[in-house]
Amino acid sequence: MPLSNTGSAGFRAWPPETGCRGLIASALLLVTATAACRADEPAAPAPARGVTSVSQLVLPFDAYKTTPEQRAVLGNAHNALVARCMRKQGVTVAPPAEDPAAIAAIDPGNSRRYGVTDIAAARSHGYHLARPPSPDTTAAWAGKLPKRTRHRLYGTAANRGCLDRATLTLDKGARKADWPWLALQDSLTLEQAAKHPSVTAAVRRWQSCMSQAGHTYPAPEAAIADGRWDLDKPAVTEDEKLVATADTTCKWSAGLVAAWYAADAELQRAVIRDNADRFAALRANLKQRLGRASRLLAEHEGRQVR
Amino acid sequence: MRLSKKAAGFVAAAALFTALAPTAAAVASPRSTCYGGRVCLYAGFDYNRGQVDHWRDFTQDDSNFADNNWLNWDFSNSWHSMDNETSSVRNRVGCSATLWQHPGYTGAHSTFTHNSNDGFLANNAIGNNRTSAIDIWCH
Repeated sequence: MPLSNTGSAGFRAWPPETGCRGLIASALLLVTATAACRADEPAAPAPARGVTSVSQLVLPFDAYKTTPEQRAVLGNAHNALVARCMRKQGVTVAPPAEDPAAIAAIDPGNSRRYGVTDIAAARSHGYHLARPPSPDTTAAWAGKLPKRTRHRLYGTAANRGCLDRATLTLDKGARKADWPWLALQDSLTLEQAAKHPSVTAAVRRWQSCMSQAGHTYPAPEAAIADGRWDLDKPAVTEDEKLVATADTTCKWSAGLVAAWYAADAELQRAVIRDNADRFAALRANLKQRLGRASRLLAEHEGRQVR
Repeated sequence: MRLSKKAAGFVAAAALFTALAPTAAAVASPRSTCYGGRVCLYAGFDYNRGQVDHWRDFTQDDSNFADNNWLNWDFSNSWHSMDNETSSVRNRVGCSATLWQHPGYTGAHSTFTHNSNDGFLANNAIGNNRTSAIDIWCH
């Protein structure tokens, strides 16, 4: 799958929404919540204006990450290489194809980058992940392989299996790029943005808003980490939903999401501006890997047709 | 905007006294391997090859690694917290799995489709040594 030439590596512009997170719904909630928070609101600075819904949380670095479509291409090429490697050892396997639509439907995007921010998801799932069930696809082809065959697939401490070899083949020949550096920047801009005065002021407004709703927490992290809910267990209590709904509503009405996103995006823009060569190399590396994967798939499909 | 290091330290310290190494499953995955039905995380690059074998596998979500310790090659507890210490991953669980920067499935994240490997986690958004939670999409 080729990269687009429109200033993006093809990353989705609008992550899928899990509920009524559109502008109208958000605006209605904002009006209600803002009114609730107004009485005890610090005088300054005012909430940052800007993004008003989860779907708008698209960051500059996103353009350098893989899209669901690209992940499907890379995944399917990997599957084809695994099948070829196993066939050389006399074993026929058929890993199921990666579906970009399924990947896109479940991908959380940036909806939890600033903590939980999706009001509709909070209302139905509290702080728990809101995602449709995903089928377990391994059992169908790899789960019942005999032990010796499993070793050929998964490898051992001494030898790489076909899964590892496929990964190495896919990456072979791609121009080197400093992905570790980008990963670090991705985490750092989030953490540095959290210290921006506009964000710390918004946290104080969030506190005030939450207090008015009857929930006293020093910061959003304390609310999601409240010992009354266990995110490792599937059960979601009404209390959790209540607090998570107030939390997300206050995050938007206090301008916390908008301020944090604005500071984060500004930092990312500056990093890209100051490191043009590094980003060009990242884009070239992804382009080469995708090109290789596409050629492998075309070759694989050609063989299947013949 | 994450749990303070001090708070995380308390949790990790508490874990040292309360957390026990889980009972070894019938099929688990030390020594660079990772068999079907689980996501395997490794403290070192390249699935711990040539390094101390600190590993752990998951079959379901875990929202906060602060109370988890790495296992040794012989399944004993290493007493080393695995919070922010993951360097490579193998996904054999049968569906996608996402590694998160912060507890509660928040912050930056990277998703691994089933049967994918990453011997150098720094190649992904989550980065090296920055993983605090895992969510497994089909469990």
